Amino acid sequence: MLSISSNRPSEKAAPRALRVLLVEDSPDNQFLFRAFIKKTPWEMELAENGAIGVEKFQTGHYDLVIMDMQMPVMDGYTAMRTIRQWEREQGRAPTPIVALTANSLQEMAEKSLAAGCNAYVTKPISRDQFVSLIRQYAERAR
Amino acid sequence: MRAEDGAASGAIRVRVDADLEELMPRFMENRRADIAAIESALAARDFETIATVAHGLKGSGGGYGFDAITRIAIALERAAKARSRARAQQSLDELARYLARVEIVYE
Repeated sequence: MLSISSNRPSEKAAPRALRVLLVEDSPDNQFLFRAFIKKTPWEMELAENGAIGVEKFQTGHYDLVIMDMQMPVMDGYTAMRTIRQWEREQGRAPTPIVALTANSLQEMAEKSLAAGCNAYVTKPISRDQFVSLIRQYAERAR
Repeated sequence: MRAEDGAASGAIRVRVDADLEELMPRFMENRRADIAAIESALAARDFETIATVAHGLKGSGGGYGFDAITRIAIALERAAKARSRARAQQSLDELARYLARVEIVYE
């Protein structure tokens, strides 16, 4: 993290807003997750499939990626592996990725973890669950 | 969708987060589209489409506050994967009845 020395510590800059990349194809969930974080200072950028998600990840700067697994064009597993490989090639530290899926099967959790996610969450997800999930990473990003 | 008739179709009250109120007309419109999509997929025995629609319903219903939608969608997805037209029809009817009776209380 960038630190700026100042003679006036009271003028310390406000922490930068946490930036989240949501990769999710369902409009119902896109609108829902936006509404969930409406009252928070977090910024959320949307990608409607894995291919767009990878492109946005490579050109933007995000503190956290929330990735649906079942999507058209490019699914979440492929997108995560692509992101992890790109980070290695670029010599970047891995950005936290949370996998979201409506499949509660253990097999799916293992597949997601193998593809490179940090955590695995089953949909449907409530506002409290969604907000506390992001908050965990917001605290780490400080 | 069936018309409401008799005591069996009294309102089902569901409490929903007030922040979701503005999303609700679109959410309900999408559910009506789902029902139409499932109906035509059933007629065509297109179980893949039914499973896809059910999977989406399962993942979003509870988030909006409708645990029953997620519960019905789980049964519908299973029926579609088992290629059971009768069970899929049953879940579809249950979903249509539920949507006809649901009454939202924002809080």
